[in-house]
Amino acid sequence: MSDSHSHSDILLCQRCNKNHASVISRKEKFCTDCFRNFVSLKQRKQMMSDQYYQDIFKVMYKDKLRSEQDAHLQNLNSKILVPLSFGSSSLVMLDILNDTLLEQSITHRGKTGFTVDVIICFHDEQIQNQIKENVSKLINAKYKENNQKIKFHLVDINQFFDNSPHLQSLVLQETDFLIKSLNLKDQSIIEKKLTLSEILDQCSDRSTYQDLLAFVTKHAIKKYAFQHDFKAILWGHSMTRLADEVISLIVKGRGSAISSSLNTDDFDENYGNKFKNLYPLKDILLTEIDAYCYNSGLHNYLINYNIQDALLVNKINQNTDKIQTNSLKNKTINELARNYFEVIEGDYSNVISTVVRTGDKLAEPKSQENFKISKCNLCMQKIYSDPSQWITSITENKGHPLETDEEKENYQRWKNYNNDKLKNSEMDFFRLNEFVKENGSKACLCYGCTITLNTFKDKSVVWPVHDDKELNSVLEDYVLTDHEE
Amino acid sequence: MFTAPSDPVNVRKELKVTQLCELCHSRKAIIRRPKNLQKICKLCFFHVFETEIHETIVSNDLFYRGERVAVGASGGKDSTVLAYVLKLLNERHDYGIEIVLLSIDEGIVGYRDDSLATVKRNQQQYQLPLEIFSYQDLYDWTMDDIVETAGIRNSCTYCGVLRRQALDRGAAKLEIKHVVTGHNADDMAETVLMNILRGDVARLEKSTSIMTSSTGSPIKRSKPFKYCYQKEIVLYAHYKKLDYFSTECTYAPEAFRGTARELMKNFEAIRPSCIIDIIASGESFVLKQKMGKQNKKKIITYNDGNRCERCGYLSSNKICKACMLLEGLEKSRAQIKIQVQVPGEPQQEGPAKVLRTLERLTF
Ligand SMILES: [Zn+2]
Ligand SMILES: [Zn+2]
Ligand SMILES: [Zn+2]
Ligand SMILES: [Zn+2]
Repeated sequence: MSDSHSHSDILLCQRCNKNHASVISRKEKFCTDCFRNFVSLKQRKQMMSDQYYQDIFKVMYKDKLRSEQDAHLQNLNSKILVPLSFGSSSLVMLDILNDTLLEQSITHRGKTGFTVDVIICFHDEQIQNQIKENVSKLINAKYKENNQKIKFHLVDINQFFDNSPHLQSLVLQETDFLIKSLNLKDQSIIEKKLTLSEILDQCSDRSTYQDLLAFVTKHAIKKYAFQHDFKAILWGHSMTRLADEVISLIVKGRGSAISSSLNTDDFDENYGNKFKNLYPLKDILLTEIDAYCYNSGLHNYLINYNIQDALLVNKINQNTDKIQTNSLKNKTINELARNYFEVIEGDYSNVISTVVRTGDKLAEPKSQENFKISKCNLCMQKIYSDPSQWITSITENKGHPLETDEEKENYQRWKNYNNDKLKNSEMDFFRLNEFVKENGSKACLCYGCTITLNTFKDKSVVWPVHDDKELNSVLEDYVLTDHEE
Repeated sequence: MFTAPSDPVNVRKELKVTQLCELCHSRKAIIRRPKNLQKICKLCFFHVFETEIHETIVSNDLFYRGERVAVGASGGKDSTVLAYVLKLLNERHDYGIEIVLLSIDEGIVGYRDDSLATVKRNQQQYQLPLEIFSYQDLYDWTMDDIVETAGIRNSCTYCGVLRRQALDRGAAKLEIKHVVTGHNADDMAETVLMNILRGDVARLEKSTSIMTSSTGSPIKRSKPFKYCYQKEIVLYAHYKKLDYFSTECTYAPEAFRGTARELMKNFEAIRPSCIIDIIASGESFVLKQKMGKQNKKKIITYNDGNRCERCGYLSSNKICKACMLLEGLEKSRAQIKIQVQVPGEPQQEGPAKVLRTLERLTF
């Protein structure tokens, strides 16, 4: 593909017919300005997609519906939360929001319809300094003028456990795939304090690790939105990212969660119905975002992200091979789905949008007969049918009878072995698990989380009880400014 | 006192407890089930494999006593194991069904000849009646002729359309109203992914149904292997030493399906349970009701009495799918002759177009 673009000086932007084209997207040649416009318009279209969002983003004035005071208050209270991961998408989205604020400021004599709070989550101490440095660089280079309208908050997601008044132990019974849970009111059952990394270390594969981390991060963001009265969370997901999310949810047995995770119409019911979730970049491919990111100089602020130059007229010539060396076995489900879309984008360009559109057509599942819809103790997703019942209905869990003396002998040895294991172990996880199985109550886990728990070393996990207390226990944040060291 | 060393024949290596089957805890585990990662022994594997299929049959009421059931037998591993297990379960649990092996001879030289020979041996081995219908008999076309005319790219879909109706027609001729096929969990999962990737909304909700019947056909179809992993079917055939023909259909899937298949292989490599997980997802799919478009939701009721004008086969359309397809083939056979004279002219009325029309008809 690159060969045909090598004579870049011949290419003219097809929008303005003046400037040289720097990006080729959807079979059209764009100059940097026209492409920025193209992407920006698509984001703004999503931000104006219905009345609720229009009320947030538009600059309000006194009219039939509201007094001057009301209008002023509405502008002031239109707070949106923007999670920033320092990947290309969230940086680009923030850039477009900044432009929107600047434009409003100019056309409305200093007034804006909304304010932006950026939330940056981290769990690894080492990355903290780089985040601080990048934020201060960003503010100085880009957001000085909107100093009052865009604020940056740093949240340490290790608070996940410290921040939870009640912990529970969730244990999977292998025989019937039922989940037993026990509230650990008396935390002394566990000798030392639990940390997020200890829980994450129990994951047997990278996929599960990333899923748990993603949940904990999302939980922190939504909890923050709940506690600080935000009207909406603007997620930076590109169309490509949403497509890989849809596929990954299906592959993880979480297909029933697709409709709720793509839902931008309703308030988030897991967090007190206080805010909605919006995906302003859902009409834009990741390759397009990367092109925007690079052409706007935003690539200087990326952390742990490699930009794709597929649509750029002048290739960046960076060592993209590095990403590919990660072997197939080490990839997560999301990464595999992402790879698939990256490869397929050339030959079947509409597959990505098809997947997102199809995902959008899915409704909330019907609940199984005689099944009371409940919520997953782990991921808070709604459960529409009993996973353990489904699994046991398609999985036989009895064996072929014992026949020979040797077999009977082996069986006896196995029994003794297990008894010894139980006797000799201290109050560790094995003991605790047996205790929970005997004394715990039946808990609800969604199908996906049941499968996740099955891949854990001990088939168990200690997890916060997601209740009102937990939701209201204050999440500490740290405000970042432009003068970090 | 002298003790004789024990007879070396009786010395056996004592199995470590961790090597034991996780179900019976008494025999050596030799298989790790992809479904739940359980390590089990051979005898327990036979038991769970057969019992799970039995459970699927019973909980979905697939059969009724006295029903005559045709097993679509291709000689491949899926259908061979299906014939074997169905016969076994029918005897073990007394379903009271009558099983007939039904084979279609597409006329694929080299592939079909050998696989038909396998089916014929299966007939002897399992003592089940066998009926063979050929494309030549049913459509006056062989698969090799079709490929020559339609191009190899579309052959699998063609093959599917024709084979599907061929099985139905064959069953109808035998006055059998139920065809069981060896579609397994892997096929099911692939279909779910394909329907999402292609945006095939019309088929999305039904991607995972165990029982289907195509429009225009009085024959119902079921898939007792819906929850069986391909890998376990192969293992079962292997350990039971079943006689099957191991070569896959020589006509490769169309390119896009190929990409989906590879994607699924990759998923499976990092998470073996994903096949059943995808089916779990697929079973939850419900489409949003379109608002303000109620008038569009008119249900086209199928008149049972309709028959194809050409061949008399039951069909909701004036001309049945197979006849449509054959008409297209006739056209393109003529066109190929023209195209030889006018090279470079884009093919307008080709089989691909007919195929698209046909696919729309299916909904
Ligand atoms: Zn331009
Ligand atoms: Zn869950
Ligand atoms: Zn066993
Ligand atoms: Zn016909």
